[in-house]
Amino acid sequence: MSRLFADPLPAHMEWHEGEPGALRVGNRRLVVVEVVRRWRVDGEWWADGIAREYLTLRTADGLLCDLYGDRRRGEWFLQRVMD
Amino acid sequence: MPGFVHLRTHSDYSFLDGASTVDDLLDAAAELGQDALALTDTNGLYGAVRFWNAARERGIKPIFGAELRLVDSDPLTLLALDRTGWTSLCRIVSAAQLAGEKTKPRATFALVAGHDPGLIALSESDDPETLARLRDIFGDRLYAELVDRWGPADIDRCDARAELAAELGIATVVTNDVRYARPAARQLHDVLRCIDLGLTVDEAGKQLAANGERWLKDDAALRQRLGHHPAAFANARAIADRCDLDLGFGYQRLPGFAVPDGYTAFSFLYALCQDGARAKYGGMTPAVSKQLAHELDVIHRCGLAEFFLINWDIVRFCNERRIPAQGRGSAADSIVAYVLDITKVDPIAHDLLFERFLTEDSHTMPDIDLDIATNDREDVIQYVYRKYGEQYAAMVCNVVTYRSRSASREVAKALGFRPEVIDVMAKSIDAPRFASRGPEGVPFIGEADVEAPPLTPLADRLNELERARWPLFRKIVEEIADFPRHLSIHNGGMLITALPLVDTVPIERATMPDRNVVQFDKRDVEDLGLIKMDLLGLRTLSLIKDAVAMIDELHGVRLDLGTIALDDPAVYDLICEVDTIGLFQVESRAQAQALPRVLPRNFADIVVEVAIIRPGPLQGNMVNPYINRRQGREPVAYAHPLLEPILKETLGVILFQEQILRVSMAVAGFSAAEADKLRRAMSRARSSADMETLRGPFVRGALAHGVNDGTANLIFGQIAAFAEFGFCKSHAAAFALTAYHTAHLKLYYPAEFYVGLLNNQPMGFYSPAVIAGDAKRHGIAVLPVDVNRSLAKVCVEEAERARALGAGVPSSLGRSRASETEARASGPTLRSESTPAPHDRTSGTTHSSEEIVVDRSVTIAAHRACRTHDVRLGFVEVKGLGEAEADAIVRERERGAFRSFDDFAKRVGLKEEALRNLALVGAFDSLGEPRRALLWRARDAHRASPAFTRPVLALPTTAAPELPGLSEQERAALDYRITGIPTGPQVMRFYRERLAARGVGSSADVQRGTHGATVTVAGAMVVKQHPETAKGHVFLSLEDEYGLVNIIIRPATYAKYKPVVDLGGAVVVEGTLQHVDGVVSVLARRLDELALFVKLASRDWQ
Repeated sequence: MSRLFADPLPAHMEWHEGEPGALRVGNRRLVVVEVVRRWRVDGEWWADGIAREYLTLRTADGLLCDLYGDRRRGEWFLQRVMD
Repeated sequence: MPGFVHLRTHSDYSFLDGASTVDDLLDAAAELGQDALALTDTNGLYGAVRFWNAARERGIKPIFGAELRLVDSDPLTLLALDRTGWTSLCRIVSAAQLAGEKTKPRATFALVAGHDPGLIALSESDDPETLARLRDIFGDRLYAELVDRWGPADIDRCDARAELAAELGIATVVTNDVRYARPAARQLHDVLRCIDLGLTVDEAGKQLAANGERWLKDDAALRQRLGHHPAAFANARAIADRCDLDLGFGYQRLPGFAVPDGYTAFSFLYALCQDGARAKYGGMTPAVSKQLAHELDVIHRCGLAEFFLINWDIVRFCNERRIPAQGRGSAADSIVAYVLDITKVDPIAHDLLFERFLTEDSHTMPDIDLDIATNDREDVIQYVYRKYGEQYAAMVCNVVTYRSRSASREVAKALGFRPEVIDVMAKSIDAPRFASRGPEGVPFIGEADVEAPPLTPLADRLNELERARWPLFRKIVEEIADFPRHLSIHNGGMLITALPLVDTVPIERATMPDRNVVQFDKRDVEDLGLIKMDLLGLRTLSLIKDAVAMIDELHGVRLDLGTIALDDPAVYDLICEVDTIGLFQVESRAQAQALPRVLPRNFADIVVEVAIIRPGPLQGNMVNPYINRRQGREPVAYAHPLLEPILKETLGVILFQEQILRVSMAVAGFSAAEADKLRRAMSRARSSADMETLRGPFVRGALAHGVNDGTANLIFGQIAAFAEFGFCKSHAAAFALTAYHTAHLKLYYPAEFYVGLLNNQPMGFYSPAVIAGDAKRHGIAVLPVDVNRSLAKVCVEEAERARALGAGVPSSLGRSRASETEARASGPTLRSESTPAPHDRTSGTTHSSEEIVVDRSVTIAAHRACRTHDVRLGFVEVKGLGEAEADAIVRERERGAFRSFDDFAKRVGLKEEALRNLALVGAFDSLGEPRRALLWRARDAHRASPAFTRPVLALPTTAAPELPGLSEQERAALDYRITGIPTGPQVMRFYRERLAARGVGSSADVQRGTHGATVTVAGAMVVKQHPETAKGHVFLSLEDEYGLVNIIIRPATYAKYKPVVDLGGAVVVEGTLQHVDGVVSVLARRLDELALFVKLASRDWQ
């Protein structure tokens, strides 16, 4: 099952020594077990610009979450959840 | 772990796929404490020599390589371990380039496989088969490359590749596939990609990199995500340590020169010099003998006999084919070059110094530039190719870089600016400075002439997107300046080697067929110690060749310019009068301003004139002391008596590079070699600090010579101030000789001269329209294209008035001065300015014999040998007609003159546009056919012509309505539009009455004005100059029917009237007349646009 959020949900990241420890979305808290993938997008600099860090995280209950962090605003968003 | 080295990097020599210069990359590496760097541009080694020099300067070890984009496999990065590896690289790159098409090289796996010795290979391939094959070829020189571009799958792929590599027994290495030195340059890289793809940033989408991680990162940053592959990091260091290659080739031997039996290269050279000396000097004088012996001795010890023989042979070939050619450069400072006829200026008579040519322990190669008549240069190049073979000869390249104008255009396009806005920006004549200010810096103040439309400032034209992106545009245009754009071989030199080229240098195809070009430019080739022949095209020499041929044919006079005396007072009169439009080197606006101050009266004066009127000296303030002394305003003084013999010819001012040599030898006791070293060190010094390090030895030497400390320092200061700008005297002498020759031609055979000048465009300082104006002021009519009289190109035609007088075939032979004066005085023919001339009036359609043509010149009027020729425009001048069509017309006419428009159209297959243009420009006037009516018939005629291939629809022919004839103004407009060369009055004549009514004067009025007076003058802006060295001043040449006038615009005034100057064609100037030292100009206070009924092009110079 895969859910892609048309409007990505704001997420709050908890960091342990520079690595993601847990994330909170709404009133759910998910413990992060593994950073599966990480990549960067930095584009459209000629217009408003997109600067994002993307993460695919595996949570303790086996979910795969795709998130991105807007590097300028420092805010994170959950984009997709899969199990 | 310290010691990481980047082994895969791209510079701007990866043409539009690398956003940093070689220096940027090295600086970034240096800052990170990295002590080695590889340069691996795509499919080429263009930057290798620059990289080599720059790396050594910074104490970084250069590693040479290239990224090969294979057509049948994954890309492969190759690095040279040693000289063998370099050879392999050159062979691979060359073969790939030659196998493909221009800019589309064809590198294949097999090609690489065949040339692996000495190379390290890096591959990002994930295909086990490919890696296995590579391993079989390269063995332990193959590495699997791990690159993290911060994409979603990158780390997974790297891990998988490392595993695969381990299985196959291949080592790994980390690189970053660097495309720019620092993160900020990512934007420029994206723009470059867009330019390459022909897309805007908004359109490019996924074709641009998703992020900006491809910069020269440090070890720690790379380990962030790849740190779990420690061996790969260690191997980057290990590879760097394995590579050891120094590009210096040492002194390359030249190919053998086939000499006659019984001779060696040197003995043959010796014999040729003996013969040559006798030919040039009439016999061996002691001076000649001594100089020759000295030079030949040096040549022998340096092993350069072949070099001279090769050049001698090329000139011999040129002489055989009667191709004008002249050598210059430091080699012109030699009597050997002179007696071999390589150079044409007598070094003894003109006091040129040999030491600068060749000093024994000199590490620089001798330099001979051969100027060859442009139209024949190709034949000469082909000769050299055939003689030495394609394997050993190739053209040296010239990398064309982005200049502000081309850069502005392309960057603006990539950023999504609209075409009309781009046009306006590109037209701005101070484009280099344009990008440095906002669009608001283009104000429009000043009331325009009522008839002129208002010019909107650029800021008002920008839309929202363009406004928002303006700062980006500015930034990127500045960054892209001087980036390589593409290669050209225009005016490149030729490399001739003893070893096969591909073993030494990378080659590729030139755009011209049968031509190979080296990926290195002149400087690179010199730095490598390779010898090149410079075969340069000079259009002036083609002008001279054509004119001499015409003079022979029409006047029966065989001009041997090489033997004419250089002391004809009439030539100097002409030059001092500034009647120099068309003359080589002395026609420019700056020259026109300097000539009345310098007043050259002999050949040595011309040599000085050519050397000093250039941007450098004008900025360096060198010219003024010389001119002041020449004008008697300053005393001629020498810092020390030792300087007098050296600087006497230049009134005590150092103007020539050779003088620096002599001064340091005479004052500081330097040897010739030391003196040359000083001169070169000075010209390379980048800062006053660098210059200061040279002071010590000089002053010490001077003291030892009995020169006191103060004077020694003063003299050093004088030399240092000059060092950047000095011109080589022998170079100036060679140019002065050509200038003299063109003056001689214009003076005695002006018609033939103008024809040569018009047929070899583009050349010179002025446009064809201005040249035509000059011709008319010299009493030479510029006759319109005529189907029955014109040739393909511009030609000379016997003047109507001469025919009317029954002058017959014009010939200057046997004509005494007296009979010429008689001919002049009788009847309505050539008049000089002194007789009151009625108003110029060209008749309706043809130039009939009652036309009065006024010769307004002074010296030419008094001396010209040819008085009976006019200039007839040729068919190629007509828009829409090429050489093929022009030739076809002339060929067809040989079967019989054209009797009518229809006859012409039927017999000659031309496109409709060509027929129309011929009609409009008056080519059928002599057949009595009114031009407007022909427009109607052109369409029908085209259908009936052989060129028309569509099936005829049997449409009824349209009957042309009754149409009025064309007015003189309309004919002028057509001339400007269709040939660009007005055959009637200059455009300003049509405004003269109105302008006079408003008190606006002509260029003639200005010439007669008094210093300090307020004047108003109007004219077409034919030259716009915005020199870098002029601190924001702008100079204009305005043209009217009487001549040219020089306008000076101060920076503040230019800022006020910028749109008028930049975008307008003609202008009304109000300002102060300056009449100083015989030079007349107007210092503008106000400029108003004068809207013309024609569109004029100006020549814009920096």
